[in-house]
Amino acid sequence: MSIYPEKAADHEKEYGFRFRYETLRSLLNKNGYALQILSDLEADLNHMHHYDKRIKRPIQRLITESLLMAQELNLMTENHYPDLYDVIFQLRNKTDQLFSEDHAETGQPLVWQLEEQTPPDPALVGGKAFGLWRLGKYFKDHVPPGFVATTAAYNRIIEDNGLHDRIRILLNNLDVTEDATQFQSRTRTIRQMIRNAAVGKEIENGIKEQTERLARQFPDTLWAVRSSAVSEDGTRSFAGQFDSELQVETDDLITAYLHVIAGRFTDRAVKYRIHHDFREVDTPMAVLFMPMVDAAAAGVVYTSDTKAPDAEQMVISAVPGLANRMVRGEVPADTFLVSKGKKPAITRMIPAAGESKEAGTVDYIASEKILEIAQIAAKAVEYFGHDLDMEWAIDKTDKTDKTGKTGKTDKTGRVQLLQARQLNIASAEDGPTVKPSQRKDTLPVIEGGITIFPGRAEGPLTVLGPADDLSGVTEGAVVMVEQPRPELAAILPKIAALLVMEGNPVGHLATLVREFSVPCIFRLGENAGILSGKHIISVNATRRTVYAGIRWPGIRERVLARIAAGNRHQKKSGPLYDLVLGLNLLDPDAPSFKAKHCQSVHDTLRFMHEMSVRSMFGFGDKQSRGWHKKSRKLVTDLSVKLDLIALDHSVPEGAKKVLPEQVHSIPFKALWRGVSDQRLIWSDRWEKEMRGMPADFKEAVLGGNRGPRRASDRNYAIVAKDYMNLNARFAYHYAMIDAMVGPGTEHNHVHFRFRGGGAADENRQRRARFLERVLRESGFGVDRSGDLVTAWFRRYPRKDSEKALELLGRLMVCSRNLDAVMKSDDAIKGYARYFIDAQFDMFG
Amino acid sequence: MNEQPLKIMVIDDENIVGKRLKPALEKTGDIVEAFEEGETALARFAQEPFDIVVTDIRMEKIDGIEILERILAKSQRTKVIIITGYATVEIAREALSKGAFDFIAKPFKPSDLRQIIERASKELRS
Amino acid sequence: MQLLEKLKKLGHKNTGIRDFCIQTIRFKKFLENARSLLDLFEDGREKFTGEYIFDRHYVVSLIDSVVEQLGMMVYDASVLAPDRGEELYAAYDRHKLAAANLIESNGSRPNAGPSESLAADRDDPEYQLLSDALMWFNGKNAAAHTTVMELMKKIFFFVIQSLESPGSPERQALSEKSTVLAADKDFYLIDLWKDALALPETQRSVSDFNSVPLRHLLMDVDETGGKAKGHFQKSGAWVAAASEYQLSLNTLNPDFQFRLETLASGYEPSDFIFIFADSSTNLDTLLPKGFHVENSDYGRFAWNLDVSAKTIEDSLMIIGRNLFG
Repeated sequence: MSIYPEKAADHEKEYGFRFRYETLRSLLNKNGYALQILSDLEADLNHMHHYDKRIKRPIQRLITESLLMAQELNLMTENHYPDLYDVIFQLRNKTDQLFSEDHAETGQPLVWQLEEQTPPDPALVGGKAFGLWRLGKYFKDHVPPGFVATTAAYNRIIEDNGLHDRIRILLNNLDVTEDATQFQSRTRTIRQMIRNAAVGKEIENGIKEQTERLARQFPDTLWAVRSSAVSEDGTRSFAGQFDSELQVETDDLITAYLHVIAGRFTDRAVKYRIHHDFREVDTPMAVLFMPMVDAAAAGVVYTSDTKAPDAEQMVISAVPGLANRMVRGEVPADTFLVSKGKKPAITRMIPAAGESKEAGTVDYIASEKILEIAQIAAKAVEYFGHDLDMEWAIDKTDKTDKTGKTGKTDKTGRVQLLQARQLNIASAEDGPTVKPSQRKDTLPVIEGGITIFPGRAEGPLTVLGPADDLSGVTEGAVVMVEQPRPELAAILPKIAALLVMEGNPVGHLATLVREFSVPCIFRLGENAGILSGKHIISVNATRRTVYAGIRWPGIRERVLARIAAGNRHQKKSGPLYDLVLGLNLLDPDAPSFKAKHCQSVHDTLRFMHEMSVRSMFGFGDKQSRGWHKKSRKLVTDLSVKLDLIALDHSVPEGAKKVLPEQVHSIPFKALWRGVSDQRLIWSDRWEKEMRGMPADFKEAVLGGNRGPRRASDRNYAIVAKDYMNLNARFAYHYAMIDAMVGPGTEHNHVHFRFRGGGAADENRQRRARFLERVLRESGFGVDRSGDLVTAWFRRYPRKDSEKALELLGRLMVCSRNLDAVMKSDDAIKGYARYFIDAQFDMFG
Repeated sequence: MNEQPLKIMVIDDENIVGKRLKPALEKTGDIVEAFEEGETALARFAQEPFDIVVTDIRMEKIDGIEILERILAKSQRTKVIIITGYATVEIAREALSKGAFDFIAKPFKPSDLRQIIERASKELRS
Repeated sequence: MQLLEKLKKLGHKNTGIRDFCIQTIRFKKFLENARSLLDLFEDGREKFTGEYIFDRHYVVSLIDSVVEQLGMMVYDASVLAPDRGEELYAAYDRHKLAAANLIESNGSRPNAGPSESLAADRDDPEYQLLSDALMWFNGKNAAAHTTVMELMKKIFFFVIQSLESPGSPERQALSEKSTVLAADKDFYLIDLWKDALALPETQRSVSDFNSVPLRHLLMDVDETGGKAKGHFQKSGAWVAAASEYQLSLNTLNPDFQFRLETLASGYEPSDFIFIFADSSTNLDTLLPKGFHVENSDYGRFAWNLDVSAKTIEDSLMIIGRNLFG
């Protein structure tokens, strides 16, 4: 269809050209987005279980981007790479397969015992069990033993009984407000289905094994079976308490287990979740089994008074016997206010019935027990680093008496801790509610600095001075220091995030931070001091923003999971890692650099990027003609041959040649400022020494035609006002810069890739290591394998991005022949220093 | 807010900010004066100090940083809140390090600024 | 060979279904881009009506983002409807120019002097620019065919027309393989990510197909059903291209144009449901409440964007009942 039939051919050529421009742009755009997902996944896969549903969506998104890129590459190359489609569809199917596989095969225990030494994954054992496990670490004698039927067991039961879709469909067409009877009948059906579900042998045996183990310590004991889920809204809603079965006989444990799971689908729980739009089956439930504590008294302790957060007092409520009736609100509780400090004292006692008294006692619990609870709670707050809401009980029969004789049977028995969770305090600053703020537009308290390792985290803030003792830092804390010091390495495995006011991004600590994958920002500046008044803070190290309070639901759990995983020394491997992040196609010149050899999504991205760029400049390809017509030669005194193709009007039209100052592209101008820096030395020693030698001999000496282009070929840059994609071969090596520098920060990026050289392999690697070092120190993210260096500098304001490009310009010129010069590993450090100190004469 | 009304100065040469902010901030009973010229504002400040100064960072004649420095030189206790445009995080950081109380990025709602002012007034009164 | 021919012949032998899958996946991406564009409109509207204080820079970058996002839509459209690419790019360039003019003309306007400072808010240049921008996005009073929204509708129409033209290679591919025809209903069933690799060996049935939205759509349709009833009887055979949380449904009947696209994963905020139908279709009797409906010369568009997966699933059940019930 053409409007001007007589000019159809011309016209179509014009449009064909335009279409190829746009295709390349689209492809590079997708590539940038895909690389971002990839680096997020890199961080996630380091500490999350590989079957975790939360990483399934980003992986699917990544593969979708990759597939569309493949289509675009094929549009550019007349369908030259159809194999890519098969590779990518297969990758999607293989990853889908991994997610749907039986999780037990990935080594997830179905049953887990509470006294385990290695930290568990909270997502596996549930928040309650995780909290108890942590308590048990600090208060061995005050936490009863127990075990957990994990979320993996839950998933297994749902899967084995084919309940997943049935539950979802039953829930999904419920309209709570319109038909109450229907609602009740549906939830009843679900509960019925669960209670009737078969529990597989493996789970049953696991539970049996555990009960037998504990029966040795607690013969003839009855059991408490409770949901290990922490209630989702983070406040003390009592919904979770309905998921308990108490006083259960050993023979009835499986039934009780199913009842607890079914309790997840009581009308009240379902209404609550539907209201909050939670996905029912996708949030599996872990169930906690413990021998019943024969309680003389029980209750709850809040380590701060939620009604008067500044009052420096704890609130302990107590009832005789078991606490569950109290938390259900069936039995009124007596309340004790206990002053905090070195010597806690009961300051006030508010009985369940009657007048409030200055201090007082009740007949079922001794005052010293109340104070002991307060002391334990105060210590727990120190360990956890935040206020807690704990359940306690006083054991009537102290069974820990090793002689086997019956212990004391009175109100002074042992204090047992049954649950600990974070207490959210509604202080004036946080507003009247304790719900995490999810407003999109809440402003950060601090913004800026340099990302050392990306990621989000939140936790209580600990500000450490140079002399402060590191052993006091609690697990999951966000630590802020003025200067990085190497000793901080000791706490890296257990902290949520690290904020440093100053700091050298290439220093020892920064390296360790990356190794431990701790979200971290350096060079926040002195004003970060204004954070010190905050209690809980949220850090987004990727975007270099810090917020007051809790900001992202679920992040805390992820942080703790990461810390736990770190302690388990999880490796960067596994089938999912291999399919997504693994990089196998390293050498674009190798015969194996082919679509069908791509084994991971990362491989496909690298392959497509390389091939799209090659196609763009049509190496020896007939497609190049169109491009040559559009290209303009850059006129310069420097020994750089560069052709420019403008995507818009950033290069004057008509002229065959342009001067650098005529190119109205922000990234190009910045790069050129670097390349043409007066301080740089341009004596091409190799060129000079070999002058007069035949070209083919020169190539043989220098390593030959290893790259996609011959050294004599011209280099190309595609430019637009805010964009540049440059492919250069300054001297037998290949460099690519892809940069977007616009007025905002969101889309800005500078990507750099560098590979090859004329010299021997080890010298090329040395140069790559030199580049890695310089770029790291300059704030780039860097990845190096062999002599291939990939670096990125994303989401910085225009000025910073321009500076990064200037640096790249200087760096490319200075490192041209370094591979020939760097004879030893020591040289790497030295040259990096010269470059950073601007001693450019050393690079002549 | 049944205490003494706050005295708030708003400086912005785009005039739109002062014009929209003034009525919004006055709603809570505080006294608001808006200025489009840095010099005029500083002259007014010399006559009588304000509790809170809200100033844009980028202005033709005097920029917000200078206003900040000159205000703080005259009155240590005054809380200066900086309005930044899009992507001027760098300058905002500079402002904070020079003693600005806080900053707010455009686009924002007057109620967002109100929150910052309340925090500032809490500090003023403590 | 002419470029357009080449583009059309991209799919060589036996790859019809694969190309069908890829184009369906690209169409989904196209819808995502459209959604982002609508979000930008919404952001501008919110800033305009919501007492916000903003500066010129905000408006300029908003306009910039709209141009960028529209460009992405146009690109997808040029792949989905190659015949229309040139025409769409010409229209896109006009909009790009319009955007540049908008920014320039506003910038050259003299700043309101102090004497005018009591003038109404709307006279402030920033507000004027935003108002002009909103008018350009989708102003109701703007001259016909000058808004971005108008171009969006046109793009949609071209794309859908091209995807559903009987001659499209993807359409033809459907008739090549009999195993994609469902065993139990008058449906062509395509598993978006599996069938592209290898076609099923035997016919599948709709009721066993692992796609949550498809199951919801057909939940209340009895076993023998599947042929549309009532005024939708003319619909004829259906094509359902699906994956776990995704569904792309349309009909092969040349006299009844209907297309439904949805993603209902519950895992991310990008869930949506989108419907296109020809002008003769009465969407009121088909859709539940809450849809945004746009009528145009080309047909009717309806969508629901900011909703939970559950709401989408509920909507699908109602639509399913109305279509096939």
